Amino acid sequence: MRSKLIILSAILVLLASVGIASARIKLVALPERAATVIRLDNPTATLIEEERVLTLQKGLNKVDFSWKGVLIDVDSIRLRVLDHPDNVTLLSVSYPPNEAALVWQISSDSDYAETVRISYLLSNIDRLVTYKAIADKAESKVDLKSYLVLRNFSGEDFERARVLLDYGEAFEQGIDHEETKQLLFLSAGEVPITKVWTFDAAKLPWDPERLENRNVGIPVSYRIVNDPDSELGKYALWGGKARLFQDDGHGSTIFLGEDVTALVPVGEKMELYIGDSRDIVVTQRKMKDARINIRKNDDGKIVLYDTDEEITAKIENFKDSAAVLTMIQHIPWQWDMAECNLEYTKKNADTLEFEITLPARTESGPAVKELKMHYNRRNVKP
Amino acid sequence: MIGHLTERDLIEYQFELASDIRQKEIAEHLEDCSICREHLERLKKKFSSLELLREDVKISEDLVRQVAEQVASAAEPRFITFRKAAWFSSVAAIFVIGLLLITMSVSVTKRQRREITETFTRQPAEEKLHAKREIALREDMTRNLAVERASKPARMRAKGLLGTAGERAAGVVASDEIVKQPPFAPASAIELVTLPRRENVQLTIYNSADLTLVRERRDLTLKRGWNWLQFMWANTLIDPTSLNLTPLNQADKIDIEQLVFPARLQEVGRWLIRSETDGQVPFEITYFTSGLSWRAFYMGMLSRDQKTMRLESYVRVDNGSGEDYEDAQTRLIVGKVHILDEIAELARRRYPYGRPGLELGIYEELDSKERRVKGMERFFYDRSAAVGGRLDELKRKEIIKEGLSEYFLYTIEGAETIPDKWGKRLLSFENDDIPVKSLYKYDQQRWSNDVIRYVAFANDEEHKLGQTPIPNGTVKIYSRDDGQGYLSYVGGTSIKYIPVNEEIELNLGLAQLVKVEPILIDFTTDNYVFNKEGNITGWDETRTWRIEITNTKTLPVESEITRGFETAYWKLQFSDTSVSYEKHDATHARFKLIVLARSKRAFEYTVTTYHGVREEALAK
Repeated sequence: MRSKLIILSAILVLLASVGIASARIKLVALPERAATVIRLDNPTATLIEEERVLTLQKGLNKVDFSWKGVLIDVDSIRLRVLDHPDNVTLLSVSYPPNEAALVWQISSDSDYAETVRISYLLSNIDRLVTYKAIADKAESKVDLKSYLVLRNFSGEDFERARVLLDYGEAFEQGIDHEETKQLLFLSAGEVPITKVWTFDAAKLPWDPERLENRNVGIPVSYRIVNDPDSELGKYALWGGKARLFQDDGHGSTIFLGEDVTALVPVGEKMELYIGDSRDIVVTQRKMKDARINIRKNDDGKIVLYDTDEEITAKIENFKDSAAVLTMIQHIPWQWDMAECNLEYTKKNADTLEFEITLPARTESGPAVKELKMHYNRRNVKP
Repeated sequence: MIGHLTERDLIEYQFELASDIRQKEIAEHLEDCSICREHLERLKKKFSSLELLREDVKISEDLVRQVAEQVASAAEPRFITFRKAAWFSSVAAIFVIGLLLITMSVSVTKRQRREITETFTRQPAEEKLHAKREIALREDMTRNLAVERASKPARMRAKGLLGTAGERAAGVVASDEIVKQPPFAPASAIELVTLPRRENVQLTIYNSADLTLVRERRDLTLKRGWNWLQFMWANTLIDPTSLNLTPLNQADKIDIEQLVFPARLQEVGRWLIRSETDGQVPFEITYFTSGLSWRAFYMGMLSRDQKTMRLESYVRVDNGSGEDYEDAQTRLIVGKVHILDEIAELARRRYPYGRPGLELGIYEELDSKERRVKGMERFFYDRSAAVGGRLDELKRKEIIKEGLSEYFLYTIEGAETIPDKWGKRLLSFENDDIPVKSLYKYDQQRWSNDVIRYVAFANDEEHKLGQTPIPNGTVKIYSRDDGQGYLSYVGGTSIKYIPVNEEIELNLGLAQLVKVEPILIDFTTDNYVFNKEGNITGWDETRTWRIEITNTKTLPVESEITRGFETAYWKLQFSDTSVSYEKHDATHARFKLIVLARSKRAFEYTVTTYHGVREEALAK
């Protein structure tokens, strides 16, 4: 066991000579640390609360709190009196020069063995959350597990502490300096998933032929909804790294991919990008791009025009199963759709989303669908 | 009383050392004298903490005796100055006793613990547990801790979210005898461990990332209660954050409570297992490692007429993981997996999950890399001799292929032994007489004046393929040109992943024997438009091109000629029906034609491009 590096001292100052000394000579009693709480609800800072019993004497008492080898945010340190809050008053806090310490002056109207709670923000101790999900072979549901990873590199050993997260019950756990512990804290056996393929025309290359023998991967994601239907929905799911596996039907699994998720509030979707599909191929080309309705100034210079544009996108499914491709197209500026052979949803002013259902390939070849989009951009300035 | 009280008077008064009469006199003086009252207050403050000690200390007779002995043997100089004054001696005595009592209470605890720890390292596990509990209790008594004792397993439960094994276990705890607190696992650098034999091992190797999923089965002997299982991976490239342990039997009675990466020890993980059963239980351990890789590569042999090709597909598995894998079921994954961190980087971390506030230091990487390389060398020399006997398998192994999610899984029949640093080549498939089409492409914008040779086929039944996608890899194409069975190397290229039913064109590089030459035979400009100032604002350009294709090969060739116009405003006149023409996209046209063996062929087209305001004329 390491020696405690955070020291709370009731100072017994023997000032044999009253001269002004630059160094403080301290003779101290060491009140033992009692209940300790590590509060990890804030991902950016860890709050430690510890209870100690101070034996206070009637009158003025000085309590010295010092630390060595740990990083404490000095301004975060608080002292709260638990037993006799009306009778024990914190008068002042002073900071000795060149020391990682502070001194509380406490007045007490009587002699008390007072329980106080000291709280402070301690650096280099935190928690991570990781997810592990195993999808069934049909990719319709996952067995979702979440692990809490406690990392303590604060310089302080916590032999036994209550660990509090922002939900769920507190639990007791000791953790030494430089120790990492991984604990299971959430398990949901049958979480429905939706598999999503997404082609975003702004992000992916259009014509695979131009790529000289490289495949264009269509990003594939699993969508999980944080709601009661998914055996979830009680709490927000913390952000963290998620690793996805799939049951291979032979009593084993394969690794599908990993992604990092942000915090998912209740009712919201978690979308985990697992990898790229090379069995769906999109070949997009601009077949027409002309300026029409040109308006000029007196000098004959073009000041405004419309465009006449045509885009075709051939979507081929080489998979032996059906898929639904979400295709995202972007038309900047003001525009009118002249003709479009597939239905779309306007997600915002310049984003169109197509949901294209692709049957499985057949013996004669891939399942093919073609998007033809003829539109005019209006009032474009050169 | 004349004058003020001395400090000695005040101390005697404060500590009630003076006679009753004197005590009364001082009290009366203090009532009248504010200066002495202040003086007393100052002294009180000085000794307030000392008071505190005097009140608080509760000592046993035994302890007093020990303290007295220690006081007697204490270093003299430390206290010598205090003896000069009787009052000070009394204060000092109280202080010294107090100080020693604190020291003793701490040191006694520590000494007891150390002894017991030392003892129980030599005791059977159950006794250790007992000893540990004793310590815990003793510590509690000594320290009077207000910590709430755990009434449940040390595990967080997101209430209502699930029935985890922990909750299951919690219900049982009340009625059985498994202690609630897990035993202490000594973080010692010197270990004595039993090594459960690896029953079988499965490797799932990815090629789009340096990643292998290892699945091991080991039979572990559990005792009822708490069990610590230690896993060490020194000199390997294992990602510790991927470690996972699952009981294959009696899962309802076995609870993997936590995985601890102990302080100050590297490449060690400890699982805390709570078991309600005794005896041998099969477990599955899975983890990621880096250093194992596989790749596909191909050899193509064109027939003499170059209309068919024999295609051989191989996979090569290499083990640079630092670990020998004996009799491992080997599976290969075809597909592009998304990973956030390189497994090799995760394996090199000093702390599995990193540490808050600090990124991985370079020195750590170097340090651990050096160690690993040494370890690998050791393994290499140790194992090489044992390998020879295992490579002489007589039967060629099949590779079973199946689709899963966006991946294809190749399972190599039987088991493979791949020692560290060794590689292995296996035939994945071979097909004779795959019909292929040679295509000679010309596109000035892509390849300047070169003609590029392609061999095209499709991954479908018509081409005697199409069972599974073809993984990406390199391909080397040969041909039998001389009729004597000697080979000629046609060219090499990389092959992209080919889904079932997709066509593939293999770029074999520059075609020496086919030339394409575009000749501009006519050029005119027309339809000029002028603005008010008389400057040109629009015009047309008309070009007539003659494209000559020369085939000096002994076989006919199909050629594809792509022409770009660098503008979307163009019009093409073309009347040669023996040549197929299509608008490829807004700025390109494409022609296809066959050129017979050792012959020359040409076609012409006229293209008008519209510039400046003349673009409007076309748009209309």
